[in-house]
Amino acid sequence: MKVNITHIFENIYKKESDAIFRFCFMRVSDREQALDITQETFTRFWQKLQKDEDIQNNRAFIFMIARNLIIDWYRKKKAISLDKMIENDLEDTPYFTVDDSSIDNLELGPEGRYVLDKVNELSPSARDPIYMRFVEGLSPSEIGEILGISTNAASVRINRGLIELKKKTGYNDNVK
Amino acid sequence: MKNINWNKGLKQLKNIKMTDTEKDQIFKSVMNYPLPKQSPIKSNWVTYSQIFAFKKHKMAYYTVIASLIVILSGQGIVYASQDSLPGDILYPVKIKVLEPVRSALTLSTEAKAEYESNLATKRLEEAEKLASNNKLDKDTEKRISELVKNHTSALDNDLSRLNKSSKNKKEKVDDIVTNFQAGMNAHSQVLEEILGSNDYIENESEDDSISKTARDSGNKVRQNYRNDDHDLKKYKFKKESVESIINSTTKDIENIKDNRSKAKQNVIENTHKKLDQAKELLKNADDKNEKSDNENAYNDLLDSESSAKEANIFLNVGLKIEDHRNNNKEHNDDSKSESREVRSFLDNND
Repeated sequence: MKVNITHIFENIYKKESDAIFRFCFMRVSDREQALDITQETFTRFWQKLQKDEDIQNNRAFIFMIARNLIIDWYRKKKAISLDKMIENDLEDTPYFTVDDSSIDNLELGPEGRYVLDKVNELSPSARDPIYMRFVEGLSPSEIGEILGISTNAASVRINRGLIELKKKTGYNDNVK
Repeated sequence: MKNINWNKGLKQLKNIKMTDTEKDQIFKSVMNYPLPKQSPIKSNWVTYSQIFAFKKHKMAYYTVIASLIVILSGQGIVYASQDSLPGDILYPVKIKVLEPVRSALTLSTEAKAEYESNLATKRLEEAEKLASNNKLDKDTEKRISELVKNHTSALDNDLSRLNKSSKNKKEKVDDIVTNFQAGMNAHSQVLEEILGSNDYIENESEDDSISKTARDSGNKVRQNYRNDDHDLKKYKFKKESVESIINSTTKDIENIKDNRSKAKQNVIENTHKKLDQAKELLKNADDKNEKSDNENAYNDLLDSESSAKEANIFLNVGLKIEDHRNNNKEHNDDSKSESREVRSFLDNND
């Protein structure tokens, strides 16, 4: 049993650790902090596995833990005005605006910055779904589970985000 | 051109990764994280918070509230339907839901048979109540007859199962059969008395008259389930019990104080007839017993018991219904005289 869950954990860690780190890094804009949250995310996931609790979709579950931890981090930090945060939601906090110097640390090219800028320009409810769909390749049902909404609602947000993105970037059907 | 930019941008974003050292460090620290052995201390407010959490799940909350309402109002309906009569709104609830459910919940065949026998008697009592209030029409009569037939066939099934199950139950079968026959005969006669006094002309050839159905049912059950194989040692005991029923019914007749009304006289007369019949059958049984015709003696004894019980039931029910009718009559007379007084008062004032 123990061997089995270690094996499961190891596999998931190999597959998802970078995506989780990236997700955290995008939101907290601080490498050390992102590493901390990533570690905490996987620690909680490991505890859940040990307690043999029923998890339907491991990937969505890990993203959900990470998202909740980021929300907690913002609450503690209070660097961003609480007014901007609507009801425990991350949606109002843009990607990578806390500290512009951290973008330099990423060694992102102009194209990467362009994508991030455009994602930040989207309406708050579309940012997370678009990022998760197109950067991390999560399915609408997984996104729905992470955000605590239905699959249909997640699909609607992705589609609306996509239309918005097309308008902002001037693409027709190039965003896939 | 722009499309290439976008795809490149996505690639660059996907390249944001942890270094191998960072990955290893995190993996190790996670794997070494001790599992907390103690369960968290439970807050005193946890019960309340669970109630509020439950309230948040609206569907569950409303479902529970709705089921509570259904259960509580259901109990009210059950209670209210118990005394309902044919034609009442709740009567179908009683005969189609309540009674079948009770019957299904009764486990032993013996109890089931008794329950069905009681239900058949109950139907006749309902008919008596309706008839004494002049509310028994042809349709209701037909319906009650059908119900009596249904109860009889259910009783028939139960008795046949009881007969097959074991020999020890034969005495019980005899009891149930005797009681059923006595009840059917007594109540059908009471019903006939009421209907007769209501100037109701009963067509004897009619198959669905309640009293005929009841008598037929009683006779059918008696013919089908009168055992030939009796425990003859119990003859003496049985005889004593029949005698005691005859004596107590005779005493009941003597104790009736106000026996001047014609209807009551009629009831008493009919009871005497039945008692005489019971005594005669008892005498026959004794004669046959002396001649060592034991089986027939015991059968006569059982018939005598049935007649004695019939006399007892007829007397009690007949008197009760006569009292009820007299009360109604007095009430009607009072209200008539009152209205007469009011009218004369008004006339005088005019």
